Amino acid sequence: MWNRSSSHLTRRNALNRVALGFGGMAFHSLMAETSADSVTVGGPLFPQEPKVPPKAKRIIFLFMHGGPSHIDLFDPKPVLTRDSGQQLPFSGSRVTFAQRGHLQGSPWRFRPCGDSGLPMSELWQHLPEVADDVCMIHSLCETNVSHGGACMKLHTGDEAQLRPSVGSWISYGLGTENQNLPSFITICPTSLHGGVNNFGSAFLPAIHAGVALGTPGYPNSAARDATFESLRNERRSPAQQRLQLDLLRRLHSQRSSGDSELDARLESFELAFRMQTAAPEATDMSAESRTTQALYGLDDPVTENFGRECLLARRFAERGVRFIQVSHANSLPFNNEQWDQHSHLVRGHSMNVRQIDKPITGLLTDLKQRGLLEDTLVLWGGEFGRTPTVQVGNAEFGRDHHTEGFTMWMAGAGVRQGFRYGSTDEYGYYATENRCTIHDLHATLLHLLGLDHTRLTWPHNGREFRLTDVYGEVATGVLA
Amino acid sequence: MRPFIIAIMISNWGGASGLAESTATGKTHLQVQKLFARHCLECHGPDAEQRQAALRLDDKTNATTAQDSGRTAIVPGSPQKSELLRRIVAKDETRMPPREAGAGLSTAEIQLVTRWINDGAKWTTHWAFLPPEDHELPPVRDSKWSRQPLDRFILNPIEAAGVVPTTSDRRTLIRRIYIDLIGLPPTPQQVQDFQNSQSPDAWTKVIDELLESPLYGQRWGRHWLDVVRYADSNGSDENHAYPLAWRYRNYVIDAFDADIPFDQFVQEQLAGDLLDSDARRNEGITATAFLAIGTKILAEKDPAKKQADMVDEQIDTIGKALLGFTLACARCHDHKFDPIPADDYYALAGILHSTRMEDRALETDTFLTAKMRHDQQVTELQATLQKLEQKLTENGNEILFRQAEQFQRGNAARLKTGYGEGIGIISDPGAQKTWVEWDVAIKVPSKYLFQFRYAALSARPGILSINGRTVNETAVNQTTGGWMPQHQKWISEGTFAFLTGNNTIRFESEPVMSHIDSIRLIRVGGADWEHVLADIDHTKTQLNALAENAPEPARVMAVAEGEPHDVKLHMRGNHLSLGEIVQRGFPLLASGVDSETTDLNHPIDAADSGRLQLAHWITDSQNGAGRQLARVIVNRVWQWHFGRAIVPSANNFGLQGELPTHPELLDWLALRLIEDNWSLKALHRRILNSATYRQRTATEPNSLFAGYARRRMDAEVIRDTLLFHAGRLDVTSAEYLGGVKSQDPSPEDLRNNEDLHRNSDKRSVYLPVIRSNTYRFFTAFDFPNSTTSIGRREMTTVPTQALLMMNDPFLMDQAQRFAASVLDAKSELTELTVINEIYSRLFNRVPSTTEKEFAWDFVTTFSEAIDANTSEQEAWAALCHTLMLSGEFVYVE
Repeated sequence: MWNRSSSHLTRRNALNRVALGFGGMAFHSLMAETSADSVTVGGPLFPQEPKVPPKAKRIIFLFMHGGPSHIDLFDPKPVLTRDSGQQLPFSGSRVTFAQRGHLQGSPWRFRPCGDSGLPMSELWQHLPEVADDVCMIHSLCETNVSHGGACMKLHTGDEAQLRPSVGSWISYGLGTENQNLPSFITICPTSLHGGVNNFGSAFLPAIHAGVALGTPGYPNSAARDATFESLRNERRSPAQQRLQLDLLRRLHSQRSSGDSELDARLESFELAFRMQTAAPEATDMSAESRTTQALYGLDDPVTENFGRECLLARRFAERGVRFIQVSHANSLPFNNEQWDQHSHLVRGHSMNVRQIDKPITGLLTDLKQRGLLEDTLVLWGGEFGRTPTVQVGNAEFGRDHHTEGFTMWMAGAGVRQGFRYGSTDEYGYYATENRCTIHDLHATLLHLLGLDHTRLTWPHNGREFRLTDVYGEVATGVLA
Repeated sequence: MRPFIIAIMISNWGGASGLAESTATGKTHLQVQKLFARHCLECHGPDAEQRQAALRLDDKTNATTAQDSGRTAIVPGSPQKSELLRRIVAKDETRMPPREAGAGLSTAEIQLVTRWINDGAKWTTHWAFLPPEDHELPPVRDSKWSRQPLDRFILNPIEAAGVVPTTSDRRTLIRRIYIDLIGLPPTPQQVQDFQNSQSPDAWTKVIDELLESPLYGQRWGRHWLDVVRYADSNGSDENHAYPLAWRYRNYVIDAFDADIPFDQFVQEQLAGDLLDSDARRNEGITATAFLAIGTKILAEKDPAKKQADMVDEQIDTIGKALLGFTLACARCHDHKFDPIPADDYYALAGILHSTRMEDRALETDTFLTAKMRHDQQVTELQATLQKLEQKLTENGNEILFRQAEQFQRGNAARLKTGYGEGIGIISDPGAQKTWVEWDVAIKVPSKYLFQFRYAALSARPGILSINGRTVNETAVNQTTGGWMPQHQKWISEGTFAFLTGNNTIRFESEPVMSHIDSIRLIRVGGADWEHVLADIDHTKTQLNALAENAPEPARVMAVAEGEPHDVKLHMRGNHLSLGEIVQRGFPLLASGVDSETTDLNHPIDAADSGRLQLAHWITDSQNGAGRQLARVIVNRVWQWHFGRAIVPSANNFGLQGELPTHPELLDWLALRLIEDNWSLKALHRRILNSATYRQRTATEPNSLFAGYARRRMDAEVIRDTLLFHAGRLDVTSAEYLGGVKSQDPSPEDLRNNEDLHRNSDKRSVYLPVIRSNTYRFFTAFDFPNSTTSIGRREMTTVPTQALLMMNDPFLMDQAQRFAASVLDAKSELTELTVINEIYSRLFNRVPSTTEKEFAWDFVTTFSEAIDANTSEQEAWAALCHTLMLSGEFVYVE
């Protein structure tokens, strides 16, 4: 099994555990199942070669907080438009968030895009340019009907209990390619709906927790102002800090040199010092050309914030960060409704798409130009979709949370291009063909990274835990 | 290499001694059980539903009997005939565990199983399911080293391993015990006193002093708060604050200080509200927060599932914290590894489903006194009122009073909450034409003054008619300053004639209606009615004011008895798929006593939830789980003293847990605790007076407890120690320090949260624990997120700690204050004396000459070479800051 009991933390492991890296250790037993006592080369974040040849080396997750409407963005439903105003002709789900109203067709027209003819609604002005790179999954289902439960399910595989997030499992499984940066970075996360638990490491070692760029908050911070915590000292110059570290080293050599635990601790200070240099370099946009900045929409106030997040994601991807999350969430200066349009769907979704359309298109284009899309997987989606029916009681029409069938998409390493996988019924209500649960999605992500979701485990509470609990099947149909 | 294993094993059978220790004791089976639990029991264990091929490797009879296939899994004494062995080494698809389940058994594991079978496959019941037994003290060669009986349990295996036991120097010892017992280092004076003392009982005196210090409860209560997943917010999605949780926290601290017997402490936490103790009734109610402070999924839309989840959280905590078993595993199926059937889970669930969580009032002395005074005032005013009303009638007047909501006809909404909280009002049920009619019986025909009592922030006039005739088209046209009960006023609408018999009063209002509380008619014309009426109104206002300012009892998070009922088994944990009803009861197998004894001694009456019986059963060391409870707590106490427990998996004694390194010692200590009337302080004394505790620091941590394992301070100890050196630590008790927005926090809220912690000088235990937004400094040093019971904190060393320590202003501030205090005290002395003083306070020792040179070199370079403006004081502060970063500062030797 790919696991590691926290009980056999020997002194030598302790050394490995601290020796390198922000993230953690992809543990030795992941590398060689027979040699339980072998020493991991380089420690917790040492980059690990997965056992299954990987298609993707890293993931960029574009998280659409609030629940974008699949039937208004990517999943056209002519029958829904035809029957608009009538009641749902079958019984819907048992638990709903609000009261269900009549069917409501999409106010937007759809058209086929790219050579593949992938349908996108007219809201999308730029994304059609890269339609042929995208693999739609129309059949996501089975998540919690509240934002909190659904966000935690999407990020951690469990809607209620505290579990390690996807990114921290991946950090645990694969380590990272850059020892001076965290293995898992979340850019401008929200503090809502699970908050830090959505990028926490729970019972996995803390070193695998996502590191936030920007203080998690509601609204979440503007990308322009986002920084890592504790990476700067306001009072002491690097030269002064160097003196401090030198003194630490001299004192250590006097008293505890050769003690591996304390050696490792000292090394962690040196690493911290190196990270203080690496992180500002990674987030410094001044090196990006105007053309690149414009590609992401940094020159337009509407797209500037999300564009900046996407550009940061590319910079982290280039530097070997394993899992990067970009959140389109409540950032008040830009958008106070996220995707949660219980009412005012037309206004809200128009604004949301406008904010992300160009930046995402720019990101995919840029990744492709740089050859990064070959080993980077981009995932787009929210915690659920929206009902084909209106929500009762709102003057300006909107849609309720919908968990029975909705759309996410992938692009890049290892997935089919310009492809539609799975489907919903003619009203966009239930996922019908190739139903894909959140566990299935997680299994697929791990598979693309070369990890077997049934074997990436951690002992906790008296049993081996996995990201997918006892569920999950790889959606082989999306694989290239 | 696997095909060779059997061959290697067989060739070794002649001289089995070369392989490992003796297997005759059944000890090997404990390891084999663990191995089975890890690889096999999921499909070949207690859970009938998942069982494959009807084979059970947790059951001797089943495993050693031929299966339908004719093969026998385990043939004692014959590895060759045992199908099990063939399967675990097989290279083809018959290998077990099957390929898709993982890599299979390691060479060492296969050797272990082979050896066990070869030696006769002796079965033992897993140790944790057997009650503790008393043990003779083992023999030791060195008769002088031991100071306590328990030392012999430690010394015996140490001697067997050929290790020479050690004793630490006094400086290390005094620093160790201070940080261990009170979470703060000693002062130079305290160190000196102890080092210089010639008294033979100097050590015992230190122990006594520290155990009696209130700082002890703050430190050791905090350990327990880990176990009970204490927090001041709900966590999870809807993360609401728990502003009352602090009373439970302080109760825990007080209970440790007062050395409340541990069995009583547990009883109080499960059923303190039901115990027969007037003296500790308030403490008892407060203690039940143990069941209430867990995380709840408030956003769950399905109430049945929500309730089941809350009960599950309680069972999980009870199992881990008190019994050392993961009971919650049996929610969905019989436990996969431990003999805990789903029935046991639902028996316990029934007790908790029959229990309500609610905030409860505490009748403290202060409250009772205030309440008595208040009640007296109310009685007096009511008497006055009665007299006044009598006077009015005697004078020939009459008041007819009617609550507005007692109308005979109409479509008005009656509101008993919100705008009508506590009194009941009427208003419109939504914008429409709202009307209401009251029938009033009149005995004396006359003119009556008609009044409404209502609250209105803006005027909502309507039409008033009497007996079908409109008398006022703009009645209820006044404003009173608000919509709430406290804004209500009596307002006259005029004097109208009423007839003998029934009179109908109608009021209609469109589209909205003011918030009307009552109506009254006052027969006018008698003597002095206006004055009396004014007095009546005045008295009523006074009464209302009193009611609003009634003394409030202190409130606590707690539980209370609910509707007693048994629950049905939830098939696969699903609340929508129900099975048989399970009678309320206890997880019997987890107690090590047989069920009949328990049932006879702790019957649950149909009228009880069973919570009180649970409290008694779990602490009953004869016919209940008391001895198991004692094992679990002595194991924890040992861990908190030594950094490593006897059973390292302190929350899981089951098959998936770790085996005790010193099982006899564990049992011996558990039985002594019971004999000592469950006194934890007595247990501390046994341990602290031992030679085991007084050993030198271990060079390599080991499971023999040879040497005292060095460990990093807990997060709170680091913070408290920094504040202590800065001269700022405030150790006085605190209530909820509050002010933390835990629901939908903005960056600003989070900064406030951070500031609240950063700017507080309170001892760490008193800082609020906000789940999911735990203080950054604490989480960096492995403070748990407190969502489940924590048996053992992680101890990590990661660069984030280094970054925090190097760059966080908090550390630099404390270093600066500390440096200033040293310099102030030593202003006339040389720099070397200053360095001595710094070392003496921070490390309780004298620096070496080289260390002094390094330090002085640093101070001069820092202040001169780097920046001409850097003052010497800053350089000293930087020196202190650097020393605070060092391993010596944060590690306990």
